[in-house]
Amino acid sequence: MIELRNLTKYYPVKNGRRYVLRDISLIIPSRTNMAVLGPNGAGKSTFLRLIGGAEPADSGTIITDEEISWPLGLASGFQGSLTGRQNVAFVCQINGLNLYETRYVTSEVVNFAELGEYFDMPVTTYSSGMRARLTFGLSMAFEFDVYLIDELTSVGDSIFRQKATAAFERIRQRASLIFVSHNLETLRNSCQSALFLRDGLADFYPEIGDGISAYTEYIREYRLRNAPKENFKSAAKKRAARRRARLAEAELNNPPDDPIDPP
Amino acid sequence: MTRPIPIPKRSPWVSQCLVIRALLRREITTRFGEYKLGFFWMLLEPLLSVIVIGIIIGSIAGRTVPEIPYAYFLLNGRLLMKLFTGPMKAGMNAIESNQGLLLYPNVKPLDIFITRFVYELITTIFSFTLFCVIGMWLGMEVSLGELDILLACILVTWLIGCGLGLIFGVAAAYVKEVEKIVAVINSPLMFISAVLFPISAMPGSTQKLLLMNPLVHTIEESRKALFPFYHAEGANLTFPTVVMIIVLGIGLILFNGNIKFMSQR
Repeated sequence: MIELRNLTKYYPVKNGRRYVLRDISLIIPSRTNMAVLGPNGAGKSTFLRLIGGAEPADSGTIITDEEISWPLGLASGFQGSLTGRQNVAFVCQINGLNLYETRYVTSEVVNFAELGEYFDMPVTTYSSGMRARLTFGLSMAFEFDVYLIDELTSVGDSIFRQKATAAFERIRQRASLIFVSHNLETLRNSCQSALFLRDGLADFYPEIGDGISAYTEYIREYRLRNAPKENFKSAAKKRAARRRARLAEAELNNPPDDPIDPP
Repeated sequence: MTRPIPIPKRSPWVSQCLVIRALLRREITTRFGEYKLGFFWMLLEPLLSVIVIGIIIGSIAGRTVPEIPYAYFLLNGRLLMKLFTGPMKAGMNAIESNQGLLLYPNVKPLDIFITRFVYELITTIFSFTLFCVIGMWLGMEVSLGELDILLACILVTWLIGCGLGLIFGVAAAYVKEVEKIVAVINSPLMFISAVLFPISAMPGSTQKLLLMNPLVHTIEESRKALFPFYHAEGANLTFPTVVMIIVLGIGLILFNGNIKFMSQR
């Protein structure tokens, strides 16, 4: 169980503050895979960083008795100039594993990530999919109660995605996920509940279906609200372009012989 | 995937030490991993820059200090100054260049600073030792009787640097220009820190002014520790120690007060 108590998080923006969470209190039950939904910039990744303890909240507390992973995303904490193997060793060391355990984790990552010779190459040379494999394989070698996954599976090929799905199935016995993704199908398949973030609000839906329909409804309304303005703008632009074209054509057909305007 | 490894529960102190150790290893591998003689470069890097300047200025200035070979006089001063400017500069972009690491909840922003500071200390102490050993091998009369004072000089200088590193680190997080300003302030530091000349070579009034600089005290005292016949006029360790406590205190308080700002991206 993860409990948020009066949690507030904002970022300073040009004129004031942009709230990611505004005085939010809610309980995320254990043993439920939770999808985090919300439009771009709603604060899904920030929410994961808050839960994972990577970023402090501005006020309020997060109470939990569960072992939570660090956010697993594409913005990983890997050092680009070090090899995959060195990065794995580093993560093991900061988490206080001994040499034997580190070796074990390394072999697990080798098996899962299937990076081949790239495992001993600097991480800067990796493609985003390879990076995702490394991140994913590494975190799966650790025993967490909650895994925070931030768009990690969206970059992989189908082999990786199948592996990830299988891994999700396996850990379902002992752990749960908090999953950020824009692929609603993936979320529907692997999650049971949902959290919908927008404008500093956060709503928990025990049924994933309800969460997704609330989200799609929000998107639809947003489009409706913003659509006419967009159309008006583009129509005006089109009109202006047409006018410019007409003028240019007229100028081509009868070039002005006298640059100075006639009186 | 057979069986996942649980993350061992450790006390915050042990955990912090482990994190700093891992960060240090990483710092060393990233800086010197791609060089063939990586470890040697770690020791030689601080010394080499010092030696180059030492040879140039030493040959121009000649023997102006009778008690100490001038090159050594200079090297000593430069190394101590590096111990001061090193942590100060390292603190300024510490968080910026390690932002990704804050992802791991075990890694606290202060750990990143400490790592960089300790790195500077280790490399300089190694260089210092190397410098003393080479000196003795060349037949210099290096005294090892006052190693405790030398160590005190090194630590005090380093801790003042760390305090300033924290202060400027926080300041640079708010106003990027601080980095430029510090670089400008840094450049004349060598001339007002008794690196190039002994304090006793200065006229009285200038002496008083220069003694306001805590670096002058530690540098002169460290020379006296290695070469007992050296005259370290007016230098003492009390003044720099007081400065150290104040600067480090301010640094830690400032850092603690702004920790939220420092750790968010």
